[in-house]
Amino acid sequence: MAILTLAQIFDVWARLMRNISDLRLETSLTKTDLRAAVEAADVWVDANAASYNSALPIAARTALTAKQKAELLMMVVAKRFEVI
Amino acid sequence: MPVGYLQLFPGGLAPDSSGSGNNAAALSYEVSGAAQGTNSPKAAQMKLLFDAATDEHWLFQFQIPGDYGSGGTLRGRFKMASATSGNIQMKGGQVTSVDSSTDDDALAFGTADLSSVVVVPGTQGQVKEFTIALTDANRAANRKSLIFVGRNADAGGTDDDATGDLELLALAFEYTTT
Repeated sequence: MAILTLAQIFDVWARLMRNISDLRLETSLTKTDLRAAVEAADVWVDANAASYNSALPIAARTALTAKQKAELLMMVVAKRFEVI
Repeated sequence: MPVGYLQLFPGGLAPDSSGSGNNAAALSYEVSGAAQGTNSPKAAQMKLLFDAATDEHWLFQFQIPGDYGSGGTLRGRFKMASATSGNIQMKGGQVTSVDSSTDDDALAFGTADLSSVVVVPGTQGQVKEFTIALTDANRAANRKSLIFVGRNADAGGTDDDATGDLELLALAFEYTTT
């Protein structure tokens, strides 16, 4: 899995700020702080993608596409941390 | 000399968002979540949302007041949707048409005038002021004028590093009267 490009990092960063604003979530993070967090999360995902894949049961590991595995992880993380 | 004011926002219009660097701010309607007072409506207001990642703008078209003498400053008040730390910087510009002289079909703003860097309120919901001294050699009483206001979101460094939307609540054109 490739690290996000600068344009993709910008897109994620901008979307996050719009979400924070729409929900009027108070934050003391500056734009620089948030950008660094996006980049750190991207690096972490890249470093741990193989580990996540190998943690999946063999049936799902072989049947799901990379995009479906990403969606699975997003759903679980979102539910776990009450984002959805 | 006395100071004159012309209230610009609420009001104005969006740029058409064509090309690059021409994005419009988002007009929004806010209804207060606070309890109503006896026999009073809910407090509600218009606001313009300026993005934190991409420069956005709003335009105001008007006739300069007849008591205009000199000067020209935008004075606005804003709050932040989310941020309780960091800075913002606003930008503005003015282009005035001289009767029987200026080609009003081909108006163009010059390089944007910038506000000072303003530290955002440390408490969500609080309001703060910015001012922008406008450059425009054609200003005079009763001339037709066009003003823009925007957020310098891509300023870089710490000039505009506050996260999330800036909410413009009120904006006035301020001048010295005759």
